[in-house]
Amino acid sequence: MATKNVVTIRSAVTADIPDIIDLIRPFVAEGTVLARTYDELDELLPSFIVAVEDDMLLGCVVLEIYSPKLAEIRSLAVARAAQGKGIGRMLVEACVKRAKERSILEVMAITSADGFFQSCGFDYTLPGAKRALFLITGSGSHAKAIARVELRPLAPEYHLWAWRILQEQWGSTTMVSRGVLYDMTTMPGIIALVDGEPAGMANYAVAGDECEILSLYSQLEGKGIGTALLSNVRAVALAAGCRRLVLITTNDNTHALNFYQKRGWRLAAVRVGAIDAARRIKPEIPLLGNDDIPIHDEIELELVL
Amino acid sequence: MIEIHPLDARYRTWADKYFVSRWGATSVVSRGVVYDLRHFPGFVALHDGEPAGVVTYRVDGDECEMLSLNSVVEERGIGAALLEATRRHAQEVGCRRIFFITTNDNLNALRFFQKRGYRLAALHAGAVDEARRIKPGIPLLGSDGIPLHDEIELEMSW
Repeated sequence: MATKNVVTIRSAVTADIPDIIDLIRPFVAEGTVLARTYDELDELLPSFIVAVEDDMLLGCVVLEIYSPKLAEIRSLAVARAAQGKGIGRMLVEACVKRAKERSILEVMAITSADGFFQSCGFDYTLPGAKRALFLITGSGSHAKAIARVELRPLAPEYHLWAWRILQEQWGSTTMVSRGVLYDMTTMPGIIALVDGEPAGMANYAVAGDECEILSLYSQLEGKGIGTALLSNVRAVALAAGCRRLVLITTNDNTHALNFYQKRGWRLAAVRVGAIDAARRIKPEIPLLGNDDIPIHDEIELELVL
Repeated sequence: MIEIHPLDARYRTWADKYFVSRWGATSVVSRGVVYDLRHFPGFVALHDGEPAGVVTYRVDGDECEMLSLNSVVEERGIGAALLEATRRHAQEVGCRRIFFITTNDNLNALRFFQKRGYRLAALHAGAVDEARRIKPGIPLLGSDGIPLHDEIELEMSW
């Protein structure tokens, strides 16, 4: 017998951000939802409301409160497969409820789905002789903040590109992590294509209930490529039954500490002198790293799934 | 021109005010212990005669812990001069090691200390979450919006 699934409407948390990015990506591509960078989403998080069913994020919306008088409903998106179940309406109702709780006088929506908003009780008219007027002052280039990223498994057609990138990034196509030497040309990976061209890559290794990200590379920063790759590896790990994602970085890599910790990852361990030991297996590991910091130690970051 | 002076009565009022302006209090938490910096020794850096940075420390047997290190202006060598003064003092009083506890969001500290010969010594995972119970004012988010959870110990030994 089929059980009726329950859709929960709740405030968004940091761990939802990758799912929100995945959810809105197709709508950003077709131009119905404005692109958002990870940092913007992070900042807007207290204003985000999400719809969740069985841990799956099915919809999201933002109620941006501008003043005690005015709030705007933005970034409303419902996954294609979950449309027609009333989830959009539930999200809009949650926004209206939140606005009422905060005694906000007017809630507005700028949308092409005006029929839908009318069915939720919205109308074009304002009380008295008031009208809403707009003047466009920007070019809309902001909508290109997140690139159109397509993710593909690392198939043989991308091998040459992948090996060149690995060579550039790591000095060779082998890599040492936690004392294990990996031949990166044999490890599974995901390629990120931007406008059809490879622009990013994640390589990983699944062992037992753990998935280790061996390398994460993005040609362009701040375009959401790294975030998209990360969320794809997370999905692969979940599908493989993993309980945690692991990433080993080095003591000089403050950029990685920033990137992963902002995305909910935690410091799990510091292994003092581990790189000094790895240098004996792979002598080409440099002595100085980022910002001319001597490389000595491994730092383990983890995300419990 | 940078001059280093012991943090004595002449500079205490300035230092106390400076701590409050930096983090709203004169106390810090390290390894689960609250230290009121008003009661610990330190050094002040004077830049053109004006206080421009301050370090505080405590000596415990053959260890010296730096409790705070701040400079009013960056990239003038003030932090490095204070670090050097503290190290020299620690050696003079017979310490074998000097260490500093920072938090998982403080990537500036990781860069600053590691560039100056300090090494990662330990990760105390969840230590800030525990410290927050003693000092509830510790924010949930730190520098750059990174969630604050852990302490990282940096050290230099000889």
